Amino acid sequence: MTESKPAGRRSRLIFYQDQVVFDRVSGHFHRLNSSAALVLRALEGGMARDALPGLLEREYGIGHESAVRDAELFLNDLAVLRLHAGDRS
Amino acid sequence: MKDARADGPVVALTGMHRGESPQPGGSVAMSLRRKFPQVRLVGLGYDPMESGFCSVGGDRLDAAYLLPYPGTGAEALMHRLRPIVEREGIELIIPCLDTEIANYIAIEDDLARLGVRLWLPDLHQFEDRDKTNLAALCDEIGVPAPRTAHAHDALTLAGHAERIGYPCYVKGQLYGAHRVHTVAEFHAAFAQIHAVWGGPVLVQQAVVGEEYNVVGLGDGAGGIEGFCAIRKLMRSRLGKGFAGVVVEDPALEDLMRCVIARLNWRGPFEVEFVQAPGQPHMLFEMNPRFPAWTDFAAQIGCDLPGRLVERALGQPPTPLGSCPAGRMFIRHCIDQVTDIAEIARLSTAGARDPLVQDHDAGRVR
Repeated sequence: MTESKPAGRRSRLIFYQDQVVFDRVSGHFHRLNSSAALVLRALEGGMARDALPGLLEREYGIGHESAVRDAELFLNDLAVLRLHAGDRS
Repeated sequence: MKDARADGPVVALTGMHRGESPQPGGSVAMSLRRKFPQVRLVGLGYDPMESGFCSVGGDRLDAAYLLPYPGTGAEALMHRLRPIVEREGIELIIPCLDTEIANYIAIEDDLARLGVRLWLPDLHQFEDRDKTNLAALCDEIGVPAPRTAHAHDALTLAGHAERIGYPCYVKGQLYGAHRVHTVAEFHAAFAQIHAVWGGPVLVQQAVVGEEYNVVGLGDGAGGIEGFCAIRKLMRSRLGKGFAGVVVEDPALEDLMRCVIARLNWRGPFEVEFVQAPGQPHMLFEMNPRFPAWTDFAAQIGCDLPGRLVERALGQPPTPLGSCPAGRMFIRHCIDQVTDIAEIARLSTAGARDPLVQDHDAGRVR
């Protein structure tokens, strides 16, 4: 389980209308689809990673196993892209 | 001699060509005009075809002079500068090209006697960040750097290249870099660079990754007056950054501050890093001058050339802003209009007064 980051510090990610996200540390930016924006926003808001499947189940009405798998795959993608959602500086 | 203080500082600067490989002078001029609307700018160059000599925009010059090439040495430079300084009342010179910095360091005392200031490192600081010494400096202070070696002859350097491994970069001490994949390509690159720039020639480990550059101004006591860090978004065929976005990376800033503190760097600088995926930033070059994109930082609140003028001339410093992540630049090329008579005048007299924009006719006269 990933701990929530303390609030009150600046987010590492900057969102542009939930369609593009800019990582102000690496200087990379990425196009987002709606589900990616939802999850990234949640992580930036301090949601723990093991709470993500529940979020996906509620938002998209999918089963628990699919939601767990989707969350894992997305977190893997974030790791590959070095998008450290939830970091503060 | 003009009364320099009556209208604003009189600043001379070099590196006025903004072509395929843009020199920094025009960018510095833009920043200075923004900070000091009454500044008088004297352009110093080597070729009448330098594009900045034709500008009537924000980087326009109030006067222009040709200098002997840097290879002729410090004495020839001083001999040429003396009458220019006396005629123009120059208070400060900002050299913007790698090849000329050592000459200016050598004549700093002579210029001071004429009332001209520089804001440059001393010779030790300058040499410690030289490409041939940078890897050792980085090793000393724990800053990651690509493996680098240098030699004056091709066979010795080829041995270093084998140990570093292909592909690698073959670089001139001041300019030029070729990525080579084979021994044959290495020898061709060595011959080309050695013929143009002389020795020593360097080989450097090729690190594939993102490039990050930081422009800053060292205060000469280990501190930094201000800085702006970017990731290069677009690179030209020559490797020049034609677009960049501001980043706020504490790790990158720490490495930059470590280098500047160790050198006690005085003056402008650009440090260039490359970061392979999952690896720390590696410092592969440190330029002893402003980069050609320095006016981007000035436009978003961090006018480093302006601060240099304040420091060098003993003026109270005005606050510098920090550069917010996400602000970016894209280089945009335009056509400057001039007349062949202007080129002829500069070619024959070695000097030229300001161009005047005829706004009604939309042309330069």
